[in-house]
Amino acid sequence: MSQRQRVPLRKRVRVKTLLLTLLSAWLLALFLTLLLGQARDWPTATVGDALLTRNAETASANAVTSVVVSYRGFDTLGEVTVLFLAATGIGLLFSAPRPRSELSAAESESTPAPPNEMMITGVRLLFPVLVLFGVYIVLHGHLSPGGGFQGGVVIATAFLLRMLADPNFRLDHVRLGWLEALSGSGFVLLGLIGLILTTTATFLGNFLPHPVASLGQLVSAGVIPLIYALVGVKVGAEVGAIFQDMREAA
Amino acid sequence: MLELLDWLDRPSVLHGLHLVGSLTLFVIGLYGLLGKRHLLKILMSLALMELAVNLLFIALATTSGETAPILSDGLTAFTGMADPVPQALILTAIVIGMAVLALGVSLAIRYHRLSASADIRALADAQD
Repeated sequence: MSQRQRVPLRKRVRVKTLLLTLLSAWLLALFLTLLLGQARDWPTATVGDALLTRNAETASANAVTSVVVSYRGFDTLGEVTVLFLAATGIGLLFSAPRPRSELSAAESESTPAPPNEMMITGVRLLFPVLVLFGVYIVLHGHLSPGGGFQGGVVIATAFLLRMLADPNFRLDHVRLGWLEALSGSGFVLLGLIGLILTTTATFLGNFLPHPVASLGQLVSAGVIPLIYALVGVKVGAEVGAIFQDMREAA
Repeated sequence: MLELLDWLDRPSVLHGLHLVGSLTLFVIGLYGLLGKRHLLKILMSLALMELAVNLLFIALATTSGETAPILSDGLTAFTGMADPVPQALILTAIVIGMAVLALGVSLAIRYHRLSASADIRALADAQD
């Protein structure tokens, strides 16, 4: 007790932390007062409701998918581009040659331990199941929760597990690049066909037949599952390339 | 007891609770962003802020009694469903957040390799 009193107050309370806490608390109070005032009379009719009433025209049982791929398809294209840019940036960062002094140090210290038997056997069992699960999620994007983004990431995770279990397993960057390029241009191509054909005349218009009667079947919703499958391939290839880059750098 | 549950189910109360929770998460992330010096901790705080915003969007898009905007066995019409637009936007935001986080982490790793430090203050002082 006596020792504690000898330390001056400004050393016991850290001023910077205190100020930051106060700032954060003030911002929280500000946001809360602003937004809670809004929450009292929240808008009841939104864009989403208008899209929901129209959604049967896409013949997709999953309204989120028809928003992602059809109504807001252009946003998805931009988003896939951002993902591509990030993957390219990571590749660029890790492909730069290392300084020589650090290279020898890295080699001596970080020879990774070989994966144990549990890992190898587990991955051997899980890998096909995970890939199948990913493909299922991608292909059923217009019927059930899921789609290209989620399924693509599941497939990439399966390959990450392979990389961890087998030190010699390598995803070929050239092949990944081809996959990415083909699926990306396929996406744009489908969009352009929708623009050119006079029946739709909008970018990413649904030009394939999509009768409402087939709603809920695997082959339905016209062009939506095709685009989502392409998105799945692209996302899987990009995330796989990120994993491969990070593993090579480790 | 039932009255309390009914009161909690009212949209304004429910949205208010979601708002308090996600804004608290957001402010925790902001505190970490401003107060921490390790690069990975800063990136983690950024991810936390982003997740708080995602949570807020998803929470505000629905009220009690609404179902997911997906037709399945019992549901045959798109009525009484949650707003699909925020869900679609957050779906893309999650993927972008993942990519940006990966880019940030790889920048941090690269910086650590070159300078053997992960301190943002040293980064601010670096001249060359």
